[in-house]
Amino acid sequence: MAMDPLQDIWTQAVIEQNRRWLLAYLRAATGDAALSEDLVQEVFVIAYQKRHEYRKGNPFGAWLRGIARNLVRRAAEDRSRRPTLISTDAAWEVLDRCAAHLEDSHMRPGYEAARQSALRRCVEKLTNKARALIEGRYRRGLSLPRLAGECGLSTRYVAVALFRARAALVSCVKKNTYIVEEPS
Amino acid sequence: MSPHDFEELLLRYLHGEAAPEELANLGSRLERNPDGYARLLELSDEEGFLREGLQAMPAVVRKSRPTIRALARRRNGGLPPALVAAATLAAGLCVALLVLSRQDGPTTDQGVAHENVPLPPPVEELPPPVRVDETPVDPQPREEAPVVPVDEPPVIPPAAPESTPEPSAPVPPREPEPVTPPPSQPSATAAAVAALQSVDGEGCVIIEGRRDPARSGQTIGLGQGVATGPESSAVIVFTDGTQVTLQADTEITQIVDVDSGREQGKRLFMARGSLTADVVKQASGRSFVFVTPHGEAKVLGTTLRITVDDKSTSLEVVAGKVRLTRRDGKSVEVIGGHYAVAAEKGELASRPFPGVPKTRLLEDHEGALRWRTASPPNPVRLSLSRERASEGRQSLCVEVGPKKEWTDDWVYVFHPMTLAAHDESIRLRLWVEECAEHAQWTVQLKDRDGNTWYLCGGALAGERRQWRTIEAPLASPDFHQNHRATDRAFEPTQVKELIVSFSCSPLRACLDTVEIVSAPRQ
Repeated sequence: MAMDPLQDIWTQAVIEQNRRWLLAYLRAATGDAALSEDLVQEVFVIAYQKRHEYRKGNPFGAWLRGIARNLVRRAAEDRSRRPTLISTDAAWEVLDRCAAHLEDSHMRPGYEAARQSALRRCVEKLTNKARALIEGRYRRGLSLPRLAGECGLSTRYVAVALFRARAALVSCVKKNTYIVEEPS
Repeated sequence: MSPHDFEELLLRYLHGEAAPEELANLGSRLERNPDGYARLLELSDEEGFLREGLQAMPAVVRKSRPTIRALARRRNGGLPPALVAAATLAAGLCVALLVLSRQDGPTTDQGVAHENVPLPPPVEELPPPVRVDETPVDPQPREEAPVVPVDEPPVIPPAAPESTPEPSAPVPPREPEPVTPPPSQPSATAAAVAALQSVDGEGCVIIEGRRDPARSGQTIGLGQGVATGPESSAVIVFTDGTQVTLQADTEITQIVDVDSGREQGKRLFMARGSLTADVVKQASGRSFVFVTPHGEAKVLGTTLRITVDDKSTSLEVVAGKVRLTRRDGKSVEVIGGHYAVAAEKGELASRPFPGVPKTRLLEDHEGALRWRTASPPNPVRLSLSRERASEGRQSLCVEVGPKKEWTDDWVYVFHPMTLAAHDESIRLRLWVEECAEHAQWTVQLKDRDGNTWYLCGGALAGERRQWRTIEAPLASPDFHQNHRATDRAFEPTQVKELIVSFSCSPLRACLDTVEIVSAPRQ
């Protein structure tokens, strides 16, 4: 981690570093992008309120995940919500292990900037159709049926084309994400 | 299930698009193969990154590249525009940071946002509108219950609910009389009629006289209102796609929907401030009415700007036709390119826009100062300075540190901007203190669909340490030439943001006198 969370736990940088992997963790747990956005905020508010309970030396990310897990379980009690994939202790355990790895990736200095930079270059390399689909889905937040409606194509066709475009884009971003390590 | 199908299903799950039976299949597959959880998390991370990354990335104008609509037109010969009713989700960390900063003490933010600004939120469908039957609407204000003190700033309560101040006591009626909307519906049962697409700065939602902090993505129910504080703005999007942008210190006390009688349609009770509206054509027999203390503007589908102060209501119609009715019953029809002022005294008449109004985006100590920057690889600092500014005012200084990476990324500086149909150009003055030899600048506009429109650009070096005036015309031959190959038509009224970009580091430059220049009217 770039800085000791106890020294300046609530700097924007620390929150931002943890926000991204935490958002992915919550979205994987809930399958609900909007809910996970809300829960991330709630995690940080609760963590701030309980900051005195955090023990120095313990993994900060694991502490945040504990708060997040409780919030997801509470949200799952609302039976009107759609079922999620993470409902058993075993599933949570596996997801937590994976999230710890993801957290490590996000803590690398310059990681987000390098990814963003790669994304910009890779979007330019997409074909016209692929770029239109990607922008419709991610920039404008369109659902598959609506995307299909705007393109005048079938939902199935758009789903496959979008899947391929996304795979090409992500692959390109991964290949082009270079992190320049600061000399120690 | 093939690996391809598995991944596709995981993505559908992450978007909330998987059917229950598909979820059951996915669950059993993950139970058998827990490695799938790692992939689920990875995809989840990628989805968030793509969404935020693409939304944060200013779109580069790409000639001859089609948008989705263009693809559709080519295939179908033209599709009608889909009904857009947008709401936004909670904007990242803003609320948390707001809560934390308020608990930690006063902030030193002067309105200049620095790196890592909150990203534009995604769009989602609004719930269908539910109208209130036979909502009584008083043609005259009720003397005993003026809801909105006309000349008091909106009370923006702190985040903590327990410390939320009670609404101000009603003030005695005075001239002009405040807007008095009909009794509000109970908030618990208020049907969603609109959503706050964005809240920039401080805003609140008015529910039964109570003022709760507003947040992006929040739905607005019938009977509720919205207010913005100083240096703030908010965009309300209605279920029919109508978009209303509230400028600083503006208050909509209540929104109602009348579904019976002669005058059917939505009514916005506006107490004060300024707003622009892009009203979607209303269904037959229905209208969209802005009710102010001095009269009402009945809209059938148009783009307009309304400003309410203590003495008058000013209406500018950019396109379409609006009937403005004064409280004494006199009315006038205002067509595109014209304006009218409803006041107690004076003639109520439709007049062409006056010549050359200018909007200065850089002002001292005022709310229009909403600059932000995005430049992932380079450390950027925005500040206000009197050292390099005209007429003793302040200018916006941009400092970019030396590059830490090999990338050639640009530094983007943004400011919210709305344009009218008669606006002709953007005028900026630029002072370059230090820059790299081959550095360049551009001026672009971003519209509500996320399209970016290049206006002009050039080299930065060569004219260091002196002011240069940049006139970025909206309708120059170059502009049309640049965009002729695209499938879209430029709509000034759809513009929402100005983007000034620099391709250099290190850089020290200042912007001053950023103005919107309008055409003189006959």
